[in-house]
Amino acid sequence: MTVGLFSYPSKMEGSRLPEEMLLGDKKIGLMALERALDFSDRVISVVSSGEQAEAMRAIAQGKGAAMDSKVVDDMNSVPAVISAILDMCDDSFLLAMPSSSPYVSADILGLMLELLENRDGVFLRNKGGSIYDFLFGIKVEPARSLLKKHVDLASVSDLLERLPRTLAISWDAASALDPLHFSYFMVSTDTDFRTAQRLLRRVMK
Amino acid sequence: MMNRLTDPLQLFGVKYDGMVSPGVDLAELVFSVCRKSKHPLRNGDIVVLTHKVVAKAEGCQVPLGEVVPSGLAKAIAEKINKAPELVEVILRHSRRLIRIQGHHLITQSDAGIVCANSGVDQSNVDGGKSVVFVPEDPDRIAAKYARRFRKLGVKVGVVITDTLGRPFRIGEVNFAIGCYGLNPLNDLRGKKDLTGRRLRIKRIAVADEIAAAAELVTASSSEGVVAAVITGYQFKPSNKGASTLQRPFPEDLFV
Repeated sequence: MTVGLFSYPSKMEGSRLPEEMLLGDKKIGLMALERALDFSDRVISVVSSGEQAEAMRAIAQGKGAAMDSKVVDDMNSVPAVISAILDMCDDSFLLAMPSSSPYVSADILGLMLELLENRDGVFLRNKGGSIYDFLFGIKVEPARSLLKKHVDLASVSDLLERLPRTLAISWDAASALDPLHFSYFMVSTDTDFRTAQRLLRRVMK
Repeated sequence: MMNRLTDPLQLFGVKYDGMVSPGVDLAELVFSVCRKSKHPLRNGDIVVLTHKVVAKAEGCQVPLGEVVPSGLAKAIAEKINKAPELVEVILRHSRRLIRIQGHHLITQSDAGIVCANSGVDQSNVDGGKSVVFVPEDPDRIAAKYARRFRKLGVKVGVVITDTLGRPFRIGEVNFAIGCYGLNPLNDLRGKKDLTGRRLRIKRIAVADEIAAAAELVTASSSEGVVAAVITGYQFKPSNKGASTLQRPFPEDLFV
């Protein structure tokens, strides 16, 4: 099983990268990477710029891990993003999460992996209904075949609809399993970062 | 124009004293019960089958003792106070987990129907040891039964039903989950009302209304009514299935 990290274009002031921001004494990108390494030795990433690729590579090297990255110019192009990460993946399963998720729950990821045994995909939706920037796991081969047939995929939701055997877990349902919504939190803006700091204080308590 | 009554619509329950088991030919069963009664099936009738009976005949039954629950099933079971094995069967037949609240698990089933527990049901099976689940494609099953009736000599519409709760009203109502031979949705948009005003919204969910009416005779499942026959309803023939009644998620105001 491979874990794929998605690095979205930064919306933070001064073009700071969320992955490089310190939460406590740890970079957010490192927190995500450590969680990914809990599940697989093979971590790959799709990023939106060379700078982001370099930042993720440095974080991985600091951890003693190798990480292949691919730069995708248009992170809004779902087929391009998913294809890029599937191209790098040489396993049967891919678990995808944002590289700026500091608190993703190991329990939730474990449950997703277990569910993937009998399905082509498991998708966790965020509060707004989108599943693009949050967690999903897919079987690599069915997803590759689907992407070859449907180059017009508009969202990961399309993937969810078109893969035959999938399970989507709504924000509401998943909240019952992860009441603090940690698994659904990624840092993309300065406001997100301030919220992450508040959450960190809550976690520390 | 003369004031008068409309033509009558009749509704019969098809009672079967035995237990439906996997492989039973439901079309033959309904056809022969009707033939032996005063109301043999006729062309243009509608046969309404409950999903429970269809599930049993199609072998969609699983003993809970043979089910190994996943971690997610165990976590949800604890939340809603249900058996983990039951929740596991529900998860296996779901495409979406929509809401977990109180004792309720609202899902979208493999067949695309948003309902409690993906239609997985313990009642009237074998005292709770096993559950039945909804076949993955009830429209295909309805078409199969319609073809079987045709071979037996009658051209009928077939509706497969399940009883669903409604978010804003108390009580459950029968809905169509599978359909073949009749147009499930009568689209009146563009037609004019009695005053000449053009209708903009009106689409009548005919298959759902048939399903709801049928439950008046099939509701007491403990009495062994396995199907209903509706005669005298003038329907538009169609190969469209009940899946056409499912509102696409992007248009849904509540999910």
